[in-house]
Amino acid sequence: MKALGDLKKYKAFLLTLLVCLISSTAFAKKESKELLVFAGAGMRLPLNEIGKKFEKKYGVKVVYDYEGSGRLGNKILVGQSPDVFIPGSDKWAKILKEKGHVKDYTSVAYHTPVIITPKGNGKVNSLGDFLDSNNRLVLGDVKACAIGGASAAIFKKAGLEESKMNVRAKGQAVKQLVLWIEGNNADASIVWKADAVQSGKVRIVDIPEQYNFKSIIPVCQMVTHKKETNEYIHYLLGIEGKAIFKKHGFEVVE
Amino acid sequence: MKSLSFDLAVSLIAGIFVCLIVLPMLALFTATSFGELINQFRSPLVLSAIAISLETSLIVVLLALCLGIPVAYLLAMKSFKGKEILDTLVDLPICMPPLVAGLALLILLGGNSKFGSMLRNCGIDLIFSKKGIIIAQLFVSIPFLIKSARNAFESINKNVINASLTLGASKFYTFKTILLPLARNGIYTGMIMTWARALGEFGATSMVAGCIPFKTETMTVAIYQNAMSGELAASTAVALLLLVFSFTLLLIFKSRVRGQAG
Repeated sequence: MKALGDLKKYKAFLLTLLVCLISSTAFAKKESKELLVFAGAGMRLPLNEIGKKFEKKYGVKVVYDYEGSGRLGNKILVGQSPDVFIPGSDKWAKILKEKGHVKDYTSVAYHTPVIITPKGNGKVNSLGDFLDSNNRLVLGDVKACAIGGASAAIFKKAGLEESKMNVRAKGQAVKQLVLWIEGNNADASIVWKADAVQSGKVRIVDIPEQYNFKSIIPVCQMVTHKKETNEYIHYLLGIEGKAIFKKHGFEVVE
Repeated sequence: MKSLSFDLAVSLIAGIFVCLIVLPMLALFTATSFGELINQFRSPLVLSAIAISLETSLIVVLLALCLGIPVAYLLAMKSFKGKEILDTLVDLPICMPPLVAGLALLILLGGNSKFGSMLRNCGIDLIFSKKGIIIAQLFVSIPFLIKSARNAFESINKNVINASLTLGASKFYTFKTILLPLARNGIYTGMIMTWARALGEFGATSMVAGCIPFKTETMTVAIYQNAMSGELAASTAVALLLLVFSFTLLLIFKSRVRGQAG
């Protein structure tokens, strides 16, 4: 009993520890007029602009969590729930719909793959040049990012074998590929057109329509969501929202 | 009795710490299955990633020893202008986000920098190679060795060193036969920490290493890629292999060191 009595002396200390542990959750209460949107990192520029305009019009704040779609998808799988999820391709929309997290999704725009090279580097001018072993390439990893899957699909359509290419590195995210090309660390890569346009520091070579593989950008409504969600999705898919996407280099779904 | 209640309080807090570390680990076990673990352990891709991780991290420990011990010696034994700055520089990689470290290395060694293109002209390609992985891992992990070795050097009684020098031994001889053996345990601890940090490094590595399977893909990259494609069970299995493996190796190494010290 005495030992327990003495324990009281450390009460203040233990109490502080307890307060520290629970305060993080206690103060993290969300305001009611706020929407949480999980979005692929590539959509930061148009979505930020849409968020600001939407807040002005409807008085609802939009909080974005930008990351790779895979990371966000995993967050949802382990129990975090946003109001809206906008991944970089429909891969995660399908996975999450199947697992009962996503109610439905509509596409707002396309991600169109393009070839990029460092400015002033004219070694790669077509998909065929990818087979030249003197050309050092960096490509998206098929597992880690959507552009990896898209470039694999393009090679398949064009009948090119990746094993015959001089692939120096696999990027874990599309921005990483842009960064590598901007820094002149390789001769060419395949990335989304919007990322190439936003960079402004790379040369863009279009991929012929018949070989290209467009990827839709789905706007997913979650199974549990606030009522303001519908207004946001409506605004995003409306004329104003699509115009903003177009401005930032995206091809919108008409 | 008073000391008993103090012990109780300390143990209680230690218990919270143990929960903080152990509960997330146990959670990992629930996200995968034994079959998946066996499956991953048999996969040639995972085995190659383990081998690359081991190879690079062990080279990092050797390089850290060569570069770190002189720095630790300087910081512990000498007073000189700019010592505070050198001391703070050692801390810098610890507080720097690994991604930023990777970015900095990419800018320094990349094709747009003079240094990078000079190296490439000499036939040394650091970016997208195992050498790149080693540099990235060394950058983020060497502070642990320096800090530990420095503490060990500082704890050596100065009289012992002075006696050796007075008796006519050279500085190098004193360093080799007195300082190094006396600082041995601190250096071992630093080696373990450096190795563990290098093994778990992802952020900086993914920026400068190519992440090509069987060539430059480390275990942490494999974990990331599996997780990003929604294969949580596979990703967790590889992560658990890394954890169990590091825990066992660390435990063996530590008990050996303690045995020698005893």
